[in-house]
Amino acid sequence: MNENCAKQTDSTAASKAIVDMCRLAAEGNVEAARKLAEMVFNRIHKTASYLASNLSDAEDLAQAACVEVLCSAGSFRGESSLHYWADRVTIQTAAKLLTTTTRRRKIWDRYHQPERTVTGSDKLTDRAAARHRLAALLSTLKLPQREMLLLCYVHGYTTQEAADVCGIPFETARGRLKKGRSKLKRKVVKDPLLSEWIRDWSI
Amino acid sequence: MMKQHIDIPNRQFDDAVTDAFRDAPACGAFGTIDDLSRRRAVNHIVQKAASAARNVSEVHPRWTHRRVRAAGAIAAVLVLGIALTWYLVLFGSASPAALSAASYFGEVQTVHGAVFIDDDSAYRHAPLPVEKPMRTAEGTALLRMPTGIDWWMASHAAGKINRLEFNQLHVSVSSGENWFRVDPERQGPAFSVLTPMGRIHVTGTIFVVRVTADDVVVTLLKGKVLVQDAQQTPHEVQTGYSIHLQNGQTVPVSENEQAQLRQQLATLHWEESTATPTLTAASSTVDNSATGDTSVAVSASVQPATTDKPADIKQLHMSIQNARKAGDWKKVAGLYKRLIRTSPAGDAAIVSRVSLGDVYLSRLHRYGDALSQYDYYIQSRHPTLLPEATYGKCLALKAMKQSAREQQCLEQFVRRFPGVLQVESARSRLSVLQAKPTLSPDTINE
Repeated sequence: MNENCAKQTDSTAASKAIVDMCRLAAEGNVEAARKLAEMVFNRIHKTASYLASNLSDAEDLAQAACVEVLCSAGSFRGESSLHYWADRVTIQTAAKLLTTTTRRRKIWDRYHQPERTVTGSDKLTDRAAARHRLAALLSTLKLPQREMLLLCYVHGYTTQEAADVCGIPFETARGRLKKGRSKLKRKVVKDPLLSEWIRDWSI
Repeated sequence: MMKQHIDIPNRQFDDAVTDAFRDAPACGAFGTIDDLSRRRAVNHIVQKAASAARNVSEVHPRWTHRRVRAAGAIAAVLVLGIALTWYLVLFGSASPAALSAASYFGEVQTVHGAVFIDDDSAYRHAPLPVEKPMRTAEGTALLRMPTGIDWWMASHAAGKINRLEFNQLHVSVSSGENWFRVDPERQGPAFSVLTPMGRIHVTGTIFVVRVTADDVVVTLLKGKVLVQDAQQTPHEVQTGYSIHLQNGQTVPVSENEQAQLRQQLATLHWEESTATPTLTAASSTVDNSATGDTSVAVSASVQPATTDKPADIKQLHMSIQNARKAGDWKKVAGLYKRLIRTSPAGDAAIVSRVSLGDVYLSRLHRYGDALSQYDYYIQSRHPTLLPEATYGKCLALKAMKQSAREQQCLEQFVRRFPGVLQVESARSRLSVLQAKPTLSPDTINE
């Protein structure tokens, strides 16, 4: 599942220019900080949108993760890619933030917000619609499994890389991935449009 | 449903899902974020990060000051605690070390004989206080510490049990001849003997310390010791050698002296392997025509030493102490008799007769039995408690109103032991007896 996404993953070491920019951002250079934020924002926003269960949480998480990236930019030594490092920071921030906010909002959401359902036509015609439905199903999984599926499906990490990003052992990561995929698959099968789209899907 | 689940192969599922998620970088689960919103968000984030950095730099010094203050307070408390502990250990009488020492030395007992503290208090079968100078009179005393250390004080010896300090057990020897036996397998604090001219570090050994006015001589009978003189120079002393602490000279012990020491050691039964003459008692009533003394006497025969059962004897001694504390004197007497029966020819049994005589005399008022026990001990020629036994016999005769025999006994006592504490009271009693005519059974018959 990672082969076609491997090219998207910039797992090589960052260039000296990026390291310098991070150093300047950490020292308080606003321009460098803005550049750095623009470089990582899309990635962090995307990660946050799949990790959080609603838009409001996703925006809060993206903002917190970006601030965390800028505040700890001085610790970036350039040994890995910037995106890899940003993903790690985002995952760690999400683990801290979502566990508290999710617990707090669980009861509220249960009674005051409708579940994230997607309505549409009888047949999925484009990838965006399928992604939308998959994201809705993904948000129903537990956070650890969601993290693993996000890193592997969305960002194209290998299991080992995903384990490193989350800071967990390889076997744990593999277990979470396997369990998450199984659950997601079961949910997809229940969704006739998605299951049909996947069956009809061909490279 | 299960069939449908199986229908989609994992590979196809993974590829399809990955393909579905593949999109423009700005595209998230909730749609694509437009450029304006993105810029606004980035500006907001940069401002927030800058203010967070400012807050951190502002908060940091105050936080550091707080940390420094907290660390200072903790350090001050620690220093005060340590200082207080040191003060209590060094100067406080109620310090934990002192208390532990007191409880530790509370178990020190005089096994034989008595020691005198403050010139008038005789300690016999009583807990010995720490930090009090003690001495023996004409008789000798054997002190037993619970950690496997025996201290035999010859007559006119003086010393002191020091307080337990820093897990170091010290006794001080100030004069006379003092014998020590330290069990090499004992558990407990390190043991050393302090003399006026140096210190002796002991592990497990038998040695003698003789303190005179101008020299201290340490003689090794078994094992080895490390002796530090007044200049802190260490000297290792081996078996069969003596060291004079005045000049630090180590000399071999002469054969004559060795023989004397071995003879004395045999009486203490500290070396179980040494065949020492001990007495096997056979009680019989004999008529001592020379003194007109008709009482229970002892015929003694020399036999190889019998080894006491240390565990039983120790247990019996503990039971005796408990019974003494409880004031159950009948039980004390019974236990002493049991101790004597356990090993009749043993050292512990022989010296127990004096203690049993004391119990009969002063507690149970069975004067005849007390007299027989004292007589038994005197006839055994055991040297350790001879003054006490003789004086006890005099007291028993006094209680039995046998004035003639009492007078003879007192005369003998005053003649043989002129230096013991009881001699003054013996003399005064003797003068009373000599002043009035005696009414002995013989004169009544006449």
